[in-house]
Amino acid sequence: MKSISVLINKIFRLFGYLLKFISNSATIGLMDDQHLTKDEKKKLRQQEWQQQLDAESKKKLRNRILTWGIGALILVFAVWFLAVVMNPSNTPSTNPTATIKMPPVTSSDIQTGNPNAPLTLVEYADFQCPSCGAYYPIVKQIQQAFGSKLRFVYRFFPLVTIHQNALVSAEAAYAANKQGKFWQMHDYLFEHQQDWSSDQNARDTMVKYAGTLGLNQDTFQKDLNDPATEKAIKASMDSALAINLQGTPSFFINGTFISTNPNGYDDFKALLQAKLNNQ
Amino acid sequence: MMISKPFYRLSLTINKLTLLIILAFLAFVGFLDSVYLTIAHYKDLTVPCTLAHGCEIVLTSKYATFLGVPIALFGAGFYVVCLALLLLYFQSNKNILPTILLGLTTIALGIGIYLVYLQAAVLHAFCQYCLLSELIDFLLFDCAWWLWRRTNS
Repeated sequence: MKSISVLINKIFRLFGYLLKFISNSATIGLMDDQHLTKDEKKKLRQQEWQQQLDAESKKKLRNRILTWGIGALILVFAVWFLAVVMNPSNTPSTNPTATIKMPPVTSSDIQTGNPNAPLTLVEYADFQCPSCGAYYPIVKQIQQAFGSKLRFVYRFFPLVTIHQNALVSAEAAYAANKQGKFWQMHDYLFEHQQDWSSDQNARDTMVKYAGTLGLNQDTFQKDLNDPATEKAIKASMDSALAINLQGTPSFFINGTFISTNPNGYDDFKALLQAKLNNQ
Repeated sequence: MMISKPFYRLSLTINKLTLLIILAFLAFVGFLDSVYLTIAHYKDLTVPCTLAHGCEIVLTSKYATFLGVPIALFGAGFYVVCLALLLLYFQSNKNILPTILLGLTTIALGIGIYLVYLQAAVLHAFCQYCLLSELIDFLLFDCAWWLWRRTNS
């Protein structure tokens, strides 16, 4: 019983508050400027002014945040756009195999094996590239397995942007070729790839290697530093870039680009055997 | 004589805005250039070098990275800071900002001159993207100096 009376009391009190609130707001609403004193008017005006100012500053802040947001968005979009456009896998051609056409093999190409062989394997490689080094023994085995049925052509594609000694090693092989010892230098460079890859004085190291291989070191050094040598390597590199080669090693069998490099010796052998059988 | 002053002031404000736009444009182009080189560095891409055969030499030289980070990335950061300062100045009109900008662009100009020297005298090779960035550093410095003189006169 007691609790009910307390509850009723509370309800009445609440009702009283409500009435008071309504009457108060009504009087405020009815209040006219004319009924206010000078001070009150001033206060009211100041209040309004302050509210306006607050709204304005809020708007300003919102605009400011918006501007920074848009600015940041533009920058992020620019980075994203460049990152997507510059992706090598996003090149316009969906089927690179069809579009990559190799310049024909001529007698001026560095080659080994039977020049009239039914199979011609062309490799675009960089002496400093680790996967070229990994394919080196496989290609060696392939050459042995096919013997006179295979002609092997080496073309320079030094990835100079990522390998600091790619250019000088290619130049060394080119200079060795002038003394008829290209393949010796080719083998030596791949077999000792680890030794010279991060060499800061690779140029001197190459001269040392030339001595080891029994080349005339003075002639070699002259050829190595000859601007014509660099020009020839760069020309070879440019021709590889011109046909859109994306990396090394890149192989061509009888002029057909191998878009996915064979997985190991057996795979490679099967690929060549299939070509041979098709002829 | 009475009327000349407001006109003078009006032309000054318009020029300041134009200057800000020029500065922002330069910084944005510089930003794109450095981001391009940074992405090329991290994606191991060969950048097409149409001017000469120097890009590879310059971009793979030991000067192309600082503490293992490509300097193009530092450049991109610098341009972003420039853009932020410009936007901040555009909004707040605080006179300290052109001074900071001038200080930054002076440092960038110094580094730019050093990089041009490296390309010309040490590497004997030029890379057009780097030269563009260095040209932008130079122009940014010019405009920043101009802006600084206007705000402090």
